[in-house]
Formats: sequence, structure tokens, C-alpha cells
Amino acid sequence: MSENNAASDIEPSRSWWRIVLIGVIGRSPRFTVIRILCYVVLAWGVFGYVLRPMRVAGISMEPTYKLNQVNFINRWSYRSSEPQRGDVVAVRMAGESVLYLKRIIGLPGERVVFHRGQVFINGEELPEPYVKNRAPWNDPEMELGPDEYFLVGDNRGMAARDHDHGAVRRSKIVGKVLL
Amino acid sequence: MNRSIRWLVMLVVVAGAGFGIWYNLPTEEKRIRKTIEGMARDATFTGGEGSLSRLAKVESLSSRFAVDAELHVDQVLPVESALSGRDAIKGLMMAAAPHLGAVDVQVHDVQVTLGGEGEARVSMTASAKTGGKRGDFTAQEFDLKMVRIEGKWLVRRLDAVAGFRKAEVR
Repeated sequence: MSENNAASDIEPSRSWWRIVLIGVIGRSPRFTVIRILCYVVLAWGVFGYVLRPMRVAGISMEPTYKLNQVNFINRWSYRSSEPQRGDVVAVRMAGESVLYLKRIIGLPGERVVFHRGQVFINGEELPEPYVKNRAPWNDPEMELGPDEYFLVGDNRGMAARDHDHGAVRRSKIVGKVLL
Repeated sequence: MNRSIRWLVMLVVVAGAGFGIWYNLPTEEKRIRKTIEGMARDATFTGGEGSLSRLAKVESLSSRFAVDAELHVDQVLPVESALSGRDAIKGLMMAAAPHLGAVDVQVHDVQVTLGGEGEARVSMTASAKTGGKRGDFTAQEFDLKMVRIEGKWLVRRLDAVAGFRKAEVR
């Protein structure tokens, strides 16, 4: 009688472990291993080569992108098309661990000038609804080369000398920000 | 099944051992990388660090430059000329160190190209995070020319690389 009681005490815990085990590794462990490997390879391919995760570390793109905001860079965005005005892009430094995040305002061959904070492209005023604060920046006119884009952040309320902006070559652009 | 698992385990062990040997093999490139990482450590200060500790770090950092080292940062900073000589670099660091708050310097994407006769070129990005309210973050790309003097890799020339081409002021 006491042996039967002991057996019934053990049984519920055995079945509980069995449920957990099936929940974790599934009914077919071999299929689960293959499925996990597929997920790992997929994640490695997607996040390693296509969508690069990033975290905003500066304030030059505020208020569009705020400090510590998480986003992705689509590295395939310019495989079949060229960067467009208004695109927010990531620009490499020595490598891709630390990137600049800026908006394209000038395209190859164009003339860009800042006058009292307003941007003029080939002499015409550029409408910029994404700029909320505008300090009176004055930058002399710059003619972009055939392979150059003019990049600047959305936070124009800060001093121009503290805000990295200017022309970069196409090869330095890593991709377009996804969200 | 058991045999294939045994083979798999053996393969993992052999691969691990191979990686361990390769990782710990002292090559010139690894020595240079350690020097660069050491520079970042020396340039990192905690908020509560005393003056003596800061000066010791400056001493260590300046010892990683060659006697005839040159610093060219005029591309990114409003300075007119290059800084020449280890003593001048050390003097500048000594003057700046006591006034710095907490700063965490890290190096990223270190690419080493070994040249002939104890010379090497290094390209890297350095980032600095200060303890400001908004966690101020700044990053800068650098090119370095390094030389091996008495078995030690030292910086002979450091150039700050401008990330963006600016308009020329006429």
C-alpha cells in the first residue's frame, strides 16, 4: 500500500517533466535540431548581410531619430536603385561598427549651399518638413562630384561646427534606414 | 549513431584546439592590435579617478608614441598645424587629463596592413562616450603609421580622417 502511494507521488512529476521536455525539444528531437539550425542560418543571413541592427548614439538626427532608438539598416536598398534625396542613410567610417546616420539632401553634380539655416540646391530653396529647429547656418557653396552625395542630420538647432555634415562618396553609403 | 556523435565531438575538440592555438599565436598584427587596445584603455578615465592615476595613464599613453611622432588632427579640429614630438603630445595630454570627466574610449574596426622593415599602417574608428546627462557620444576615424622600435610597436604618425568633405572657404 505504501509502495503504491510512493509510486503515485512520483508519477505526476514525471509527466510534468515529460511535458516540459516535449515542449522544449518537440516530439521529434531531430526535426527540432534541424528547425533550430534553419532559424540560426536565417537570422545570421538576414541580420548579418541584409538588415543590420543599429542603435542611435548621437543627437544629430533628432527629432526624427532619438537617442538610444533601435532601428535597422537595409544594406540591399541600393542594389537596384540609387540613393534619393530625403533618404536617411548610414555611412561607414573605418568599418561598419560605428556609422554616421544622416539624410541625403544633395545629389551628384548639384550645388549645395546653406544660407541662414536654409538649404539651397542649384539656387532653389529646398523644402525640409523634417527640420523642426533651424540655427542660422552659413556654409559656402559646394559643387558635388559625379559620385558624391551631400548629407546632413535633421537637428539643425545645434551649432554647425558640432554637426558633421558634407559630401561623401557613394561607396561610403552602407544602406538606407528601414523604419 | 554513437559513432557519429563521437566523431562530431572529436571534430569540435580539434577545431576548438586549432582555434585556441591560432588565437594565442603571437603575430605582429596581434601585437599591434594589443597596442591600439592599450591606447584606448589609457585614454579611458572613470569619474572618480585621482590626478595621480590620470597622470600615470597619460604617461603610459604617451609611451606608445615614437619620439618623433606627429599628430595631424587639423582635418577635424580647429587647429592650424600638426603636433610634433612625443614630448609635445605628452604635454598636451598632461594639460588636458585633469580637466576631463568620465570618458570611455573604445576602438572599432581595426585594420592592420603590415609593411616591410618594421612598419605598419592601421585604420580604425575610435569612439568616446562621456558621462554627460545625454550620454554624449563622439566617433572619429583615424589612420596611423606605426613602427617597431626595439621590439615595441609605436605610433609614428596619427591622422584624423575627415568623414565628410567640406566646402572650401574662398
